[in-house]
Amino acid sequence: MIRPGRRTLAFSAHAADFCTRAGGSLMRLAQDGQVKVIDLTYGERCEAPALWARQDKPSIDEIKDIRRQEMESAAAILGVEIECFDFGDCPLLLGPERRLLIMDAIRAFQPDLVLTHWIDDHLHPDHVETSQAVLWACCYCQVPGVETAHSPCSLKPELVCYEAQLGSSPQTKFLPEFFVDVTAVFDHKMEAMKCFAAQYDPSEGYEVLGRYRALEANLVANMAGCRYAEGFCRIGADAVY
Amino acid sequence: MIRSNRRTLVFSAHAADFCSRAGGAIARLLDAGGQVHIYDMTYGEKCESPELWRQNPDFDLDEVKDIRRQEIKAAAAVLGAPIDCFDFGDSPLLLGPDRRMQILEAIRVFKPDLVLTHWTDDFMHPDHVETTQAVLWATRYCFRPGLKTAHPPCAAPEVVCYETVLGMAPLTKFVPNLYVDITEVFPRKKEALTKLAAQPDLPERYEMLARYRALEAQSTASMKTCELAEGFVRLGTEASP
Repeated sequence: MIRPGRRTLAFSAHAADFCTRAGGSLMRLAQDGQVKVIDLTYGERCEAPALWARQDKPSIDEIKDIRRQEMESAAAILGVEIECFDFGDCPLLLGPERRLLIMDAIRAFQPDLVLTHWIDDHLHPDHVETSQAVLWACCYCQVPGVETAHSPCSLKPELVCYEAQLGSSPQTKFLPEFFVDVTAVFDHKMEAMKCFAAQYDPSEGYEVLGRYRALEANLVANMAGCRYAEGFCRIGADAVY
Repeated sequence: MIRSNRRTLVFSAHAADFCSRAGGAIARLLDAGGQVHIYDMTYGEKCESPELWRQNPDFDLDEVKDIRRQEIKAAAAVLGAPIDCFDFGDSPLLLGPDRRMQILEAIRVFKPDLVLTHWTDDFMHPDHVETTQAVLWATRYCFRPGLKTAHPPCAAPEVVCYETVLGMAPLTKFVPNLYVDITEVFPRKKEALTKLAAQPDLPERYEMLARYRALEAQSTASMKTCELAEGFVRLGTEASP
């Protein structure tokens, strides 16, 4: 997955998803390529528990402001561009107009790689809604009959799913098909994850996951020196020319 | 899986398998007032004693077995269960008709209501599959009077598979369907693992696995306070009598 010069577009349902699940890979891709992250929402309702626990409850707009700062700080650490569509979370519903916005973002950026949620991440339905819409947009972005502001893509991007909700792999059958070694950038990923204080700092659980996926990478992918890994599933088969 | 007064028989291919993969559950079954007996098929003298072979590539096999015998006795004693080894010889471990009858007879002698063994599809470590196949065979026929051994037939026990080779889960499709909370007994498991000094990596690696499985237990089994877990696959469905 990691090659120089790639154009990568990552879609996440909520503020932190891109960072916790693919932050290390995005950083590696950004070191020699273009990476843009699009969050569909700020995760203002379902993924900001520390803010909702405050005595003096902030307004939705205040929460969005805080989350915007968090995601921008994290993206800056990883060295990636970020934008939020602010579609509103929980329930996140992506009807025809929003789907066309997602497709137009793909046509504007012209990615050769798209990252998004695991297609069967059914314990977090906002994630499934996101991956369904992104899958739809990737499948039809070349079709001229579906008109948006930008012209159709000349290339169908490779679509790769990052991790299911932490710990739900056995339920959602997320069994990684390949691993990216993120050992060298893991300190930065940890620092970026710690930006998301509204989620009570998700870094601890994801450090355990990174170590565990590395044990899998060591064994099933012969990645002998890997201490931290991110696991992925590709939609489609491995191409060998 | 953990109930009071269960009779549990544990079968492992090599010296340490019972401890690294099910040591916590064994401790809990014992603490709940049950009887546990462990059978190792082999001492893992050839394929699972890396530290000894590193120290001396010309080790005599009997010496290796002696060292490993002491190790498994010490580890099982920490957990509090008796252990025996069939000494069938490892790698390749082959369990033909005579050996299968010995396993079946061990089941009839002990009359377990629970049998723990390797994952059925642990094909990247063929000694494990050989063990599971033989144990499964014995548990499926131990009640049949047509198969004569010294002891009379006994009822078929519940069979539960412990972990695949650490890190192999995506390939061998080991997807836990039950978790045992081993948070409280983990110090005992770790102490037992340190007794298996011919495999010095076990304590650290299996602590990492237990932390990861606990994240799954929290997410998919609502075990909110679980910090360390062992994952298992029950062969058969859950019963609600």
